Amino acid sequence: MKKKAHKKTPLQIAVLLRRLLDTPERTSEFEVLGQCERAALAAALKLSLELEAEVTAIAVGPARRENRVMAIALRAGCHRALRIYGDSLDAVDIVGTARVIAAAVAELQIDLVLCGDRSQETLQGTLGPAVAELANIPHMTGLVDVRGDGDHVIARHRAGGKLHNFHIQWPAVLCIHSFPRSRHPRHGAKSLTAGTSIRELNIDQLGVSVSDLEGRMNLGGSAHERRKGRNAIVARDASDLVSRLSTDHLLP
Amino acid sequence: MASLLAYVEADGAKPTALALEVLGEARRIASTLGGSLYAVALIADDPSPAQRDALVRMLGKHGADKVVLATIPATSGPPVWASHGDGIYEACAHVRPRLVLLPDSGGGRDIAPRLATRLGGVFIAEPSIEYGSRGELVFSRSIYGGTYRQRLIDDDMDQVVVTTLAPGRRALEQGDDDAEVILLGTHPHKSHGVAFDKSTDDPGAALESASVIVMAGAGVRTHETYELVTMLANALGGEVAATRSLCELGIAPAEREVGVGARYVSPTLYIVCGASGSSAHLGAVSGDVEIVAIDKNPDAPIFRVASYGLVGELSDLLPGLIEAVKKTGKLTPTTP
Repeated sequence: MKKKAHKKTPLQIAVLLRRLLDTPERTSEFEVLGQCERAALAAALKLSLELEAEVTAIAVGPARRENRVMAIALRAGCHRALRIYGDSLDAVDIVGTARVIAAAVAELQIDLVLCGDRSQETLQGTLGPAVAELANIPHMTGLVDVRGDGDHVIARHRAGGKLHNFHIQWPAVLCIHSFPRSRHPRHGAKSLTAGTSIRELNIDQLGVSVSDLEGRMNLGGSAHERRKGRNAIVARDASDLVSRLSTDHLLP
Repeated sequence: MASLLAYVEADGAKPTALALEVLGEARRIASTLGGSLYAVALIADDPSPAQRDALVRMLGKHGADKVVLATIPATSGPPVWASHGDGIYEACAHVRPRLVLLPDSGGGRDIAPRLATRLGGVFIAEPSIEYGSRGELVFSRSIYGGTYRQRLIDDDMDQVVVTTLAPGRRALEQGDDDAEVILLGTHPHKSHGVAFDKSTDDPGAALESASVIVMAGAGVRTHETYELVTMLANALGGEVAATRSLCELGIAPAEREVGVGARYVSPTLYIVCGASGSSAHLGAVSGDVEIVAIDKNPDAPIFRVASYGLVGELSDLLPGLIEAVKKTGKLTPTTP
């Protein structure tokens, strides 16, 4: 992680993206990226304009799954795309993935890491804080807005019925929960990424070995398909519905 | 079982209601499995002995066997990892718990996954907690919009488990008030480049604590129908929410949006008007909620997760429903 002082190169932002696993047949941005990751992408592109920064989209996983995500990121205006792959990655938990990303963040000398606050599938919210811990940098989750302001970011964290503003200096990890749509930059506004290819790195090239990840294998528990939901009892009319809700003590 | 540790989130020096619910759940687990329960409270600046004693008594009554107190420099901001994380980690390093429980608040969600990473453990958010056939702890939670259930068995792992618990559990008030006190002393506040600036009110905050929510989906389509949805919410003494698509159309204000990447809710009754029930929507709704679906399409997926339904045009059904609700006579309409 490079220091901001005496830096001659532009600020470097990484946005962590991942394809939704339950929509393998789909291709549009709305179906491939989770809501929080779309917000993170938009926030990263906006910060790149405000801070004159360069944005690298990073995904971890096989090309058949993640290249579509990388293409979306490049078309949206990211300057570079990096896909990290490795044989053991499908078996590691999120902290194992975070270890790989933290190595990439160090290798690429990233200043600000943006990611979705929670994955759409599991809603866990582990990746950003785990990357921050392993990279030994600050983080903030639950962000509903970010704004570049000179040498720091003003980040709005939602909690406890309040919106809390924090000033965050880089290096840091910002976990984006949502982003005001009125402030989304126009996707595709930049042409400099046209023709940019996706860089690929094996975890070995980041100095991460399979043995480094062994402690994080198969820690996610098991997943079981639930039985198909029952069909709702369809009420005859509004009065019938209210009567049923009242009988079930569901009305306040 | 070895020790459990519950982080007591506080508003000033006073534990939040959710923190006491978490402590109650931790007490039940500790009593069932035979472990010691440590409550960890971080208090800004050194409290007076009277304040400290009152806090210890309160946490003891709510189930703590031992209370770990650490003072941190005053911060007017909310509890987040940047200000509280190192203190909680120090408490964990002292206690070496098998299970760490935090409230599923904004602060708990900021702290828990990083704490789990630092402890080399596993984080599981908002699980249901049950006991397996061998008496082991089983954590389970809905994933993939409720189509799958993730299951984690404590006995199968060597790692510490860190979890956040959502509201809705019962706090206890039957413990002893003579819990043992462990003082960790002042923890140096490392700002780590994160500085709190100011807080403002969240205009949609009421949704997060509402027991009744009436949700307007894309099928609402017009301002007139949205007004009917709002009237139904008012008649029920609840809150009105909207899906992303309706907010994007400008029919509902953005702060009313419920969904992944917007706002998470856990009402008792959730009435869905004209929304199909996508994973991006229902993923943000607590799994324990009773759903009522109202839609003109009887094959809409929302009817597969709902308990009750009404089929028809919203503009036809909602006026009658509002009247029927008002006729029950036990509801107190609220003003929006």
